[in-house]
Amino acid sequence: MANYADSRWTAFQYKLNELMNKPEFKHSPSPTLMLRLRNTDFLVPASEKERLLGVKQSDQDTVEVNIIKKQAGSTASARAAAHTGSINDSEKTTVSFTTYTGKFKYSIKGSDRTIWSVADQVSKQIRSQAIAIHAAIESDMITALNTNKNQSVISATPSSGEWDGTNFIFGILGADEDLWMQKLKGFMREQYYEGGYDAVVDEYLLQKAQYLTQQGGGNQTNLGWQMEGLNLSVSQGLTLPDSYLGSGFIAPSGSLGVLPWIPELNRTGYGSVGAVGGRYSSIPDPLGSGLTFAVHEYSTAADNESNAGETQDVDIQVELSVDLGPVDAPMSTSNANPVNKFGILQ
Amino acid sequence: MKKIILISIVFLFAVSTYAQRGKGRVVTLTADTIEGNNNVNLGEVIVTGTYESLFIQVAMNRISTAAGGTLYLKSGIDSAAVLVNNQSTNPNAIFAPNDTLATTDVATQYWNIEIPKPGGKEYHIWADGDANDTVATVIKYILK
Repeated sequence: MANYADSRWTAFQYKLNELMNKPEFKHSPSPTLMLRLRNTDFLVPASEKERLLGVKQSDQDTVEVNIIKKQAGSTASARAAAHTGSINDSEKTTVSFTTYTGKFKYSIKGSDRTIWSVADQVSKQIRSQAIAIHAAIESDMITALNTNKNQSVISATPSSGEWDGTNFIFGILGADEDLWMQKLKGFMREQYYEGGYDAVVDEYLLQKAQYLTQQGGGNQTNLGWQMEGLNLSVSQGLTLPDSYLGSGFIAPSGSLGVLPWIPELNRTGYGSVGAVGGRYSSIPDPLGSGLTFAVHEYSTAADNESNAGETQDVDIQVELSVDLGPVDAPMSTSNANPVNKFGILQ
Repeated sequence: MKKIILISIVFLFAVSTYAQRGKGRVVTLTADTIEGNNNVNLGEVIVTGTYESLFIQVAMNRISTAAGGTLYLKSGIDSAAVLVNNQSTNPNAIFAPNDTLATTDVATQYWNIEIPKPGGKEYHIWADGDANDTVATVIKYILK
């Protein structure tokens, strides 16, 4: 070809630094999971077996939590020599563990024909699966908050607002919007809770709280005092009920928890990628939640010349997983739960 | 023991999935249809805050060949006791073009209602359908 057309540089390949990679890997911060992960050490072993072996040994094990129920009142207005009472009762609930997995594949020759090293590829695959696992966990946990929310209130006509006995939502009146945190804490006080509280709220409520707590800088009225004892996390995954400006869930601090679990073989480590059965190991959650993911890897021979690798390649199949057993403080009253749904009516 | 006062906000961001509401936001209610000689409550606006105005727009799209029926604005304190608003009972309300709307046989029709300083809690758009009509309606409102 004339003019060296065949031998010109036509494209220059670069990689991007981490900051430029961040938008591609942006992800939900999992506020509901993070709220529960603040409380993972709430089990009191019932015997030496539980103390020694931990929360459970196997996928097949069942975990039960027990409480002694509050006994029904048996009051009278006079003393008696032959007073009679009744034996109290206890209650047991089974913790429901859900397994979350994410899987991917890479090949050991996968970097031979690209600008990416195997480490480049695998690190981003691990991160991608961690993001997907977090999204699945968060979605389930928000759904569970709504499904299990409290339906039993002390008074169906609370002083602090309105109780929607059909949808089980405490409504703060629109006229009280600037006092929404005070009214919310008032409602919880009306349920005999003493605070502090953890709340997951939507963007509207968080922005309102930010404004209300910036007295002087953002507004001329000091309304910031009402946030005392209220720990807000914002979620973009909440569904706003009709006629509400913003909504969320609130629970007494320490009443929501989660039990993370991975199999013992992953905790102790076993095998190798090339051996029958593969390798069992674990890694810390790359998103920084504090969870530990179980990792299982095994290899197979493959011709990958048409799949970014080469002939006589080796595929490594990888699976990340974690089991989570969310626990709400159990209550013996029918349909009672420490989680209360609330919102500001428009 | 002195309680530890927790004053913190966790700033977290992710994909938005909920509708925006509040002053100045247009809210669209679930679409409904007037079908035949039936009465139907097409949509409800609940107001518990203090606002300068409530503006409701009802869009009607004819589905059958002969659109018909009359729309009414009702208001009240609770859902069971809303009553029809009109110029004689509520002279401060601004209606366009009328205080009730008799739908006409056109493809698309709008009814705009402006309510200064809404004092009720519930505002309903209610329809009295005509035989053989089928009219799809979409209600939007804005509070300012």
